[in-house]
Amino acid sequence: MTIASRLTQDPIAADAELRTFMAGLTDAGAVVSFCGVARGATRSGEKVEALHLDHYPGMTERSLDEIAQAGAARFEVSDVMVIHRCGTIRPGETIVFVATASSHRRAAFLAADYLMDRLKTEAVFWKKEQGVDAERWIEPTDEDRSDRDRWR
Amino acid sequence: MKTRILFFGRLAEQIGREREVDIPDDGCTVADLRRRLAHDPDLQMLAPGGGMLASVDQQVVQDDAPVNPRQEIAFFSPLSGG
Repeated sequence: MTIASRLTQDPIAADAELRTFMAGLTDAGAVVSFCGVARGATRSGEKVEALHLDHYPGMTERSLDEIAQAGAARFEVSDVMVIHRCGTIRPGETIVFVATASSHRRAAFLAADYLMDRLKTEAVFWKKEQGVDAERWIEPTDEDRSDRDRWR
Repeated sequence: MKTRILFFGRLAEQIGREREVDIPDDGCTVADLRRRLAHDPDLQMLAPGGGMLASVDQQVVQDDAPVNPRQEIAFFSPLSGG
């Protein structure tokens, strides 16, 4: 049973991460993985050239770990991995990778969903969208907050 | 005693990554520290009620929390999440 999280400035190779995660499992019947990918356009259709994620060294890592631990405590999962990028992220790159494993599929699906809803609102990041000629700081949307509140 | 204060997010873009400030050796509240910082016209957004969050030793705190000059203090704009 491994509950782990990692913050990285480097690109996330989700296929390799999933292989590593699965190689560490014993007796899991279900594995769910999720990748959050940087979009190339805003909701209103403007081009995005990059995302910049500022973080607070120490506090950010701890927020990832707390969320991973909370997901493991709440659902019948044997293993959890959370990997999050910081720094500059280009469209098409993975920002966040989550994997969960359990004996049966439901817990793994639910845990991954829970982890993502909490990461989207509570992970300690400040996110700036860089467009062609403007930059914009982003805060969680009402939808992000109501997604998180489903688990209260 | 001079203490280094850290800034993150939109706030860091506006005012830089850190500043040094005098905090009484026996400490003060976060609200006192905010008022002290906000004397600087560049830092007025740090005044109580200005919407910037505070943390002490990497825990988000309210304005009535105590701080002393040996602690790690940071201010930042609201979190974006991941």
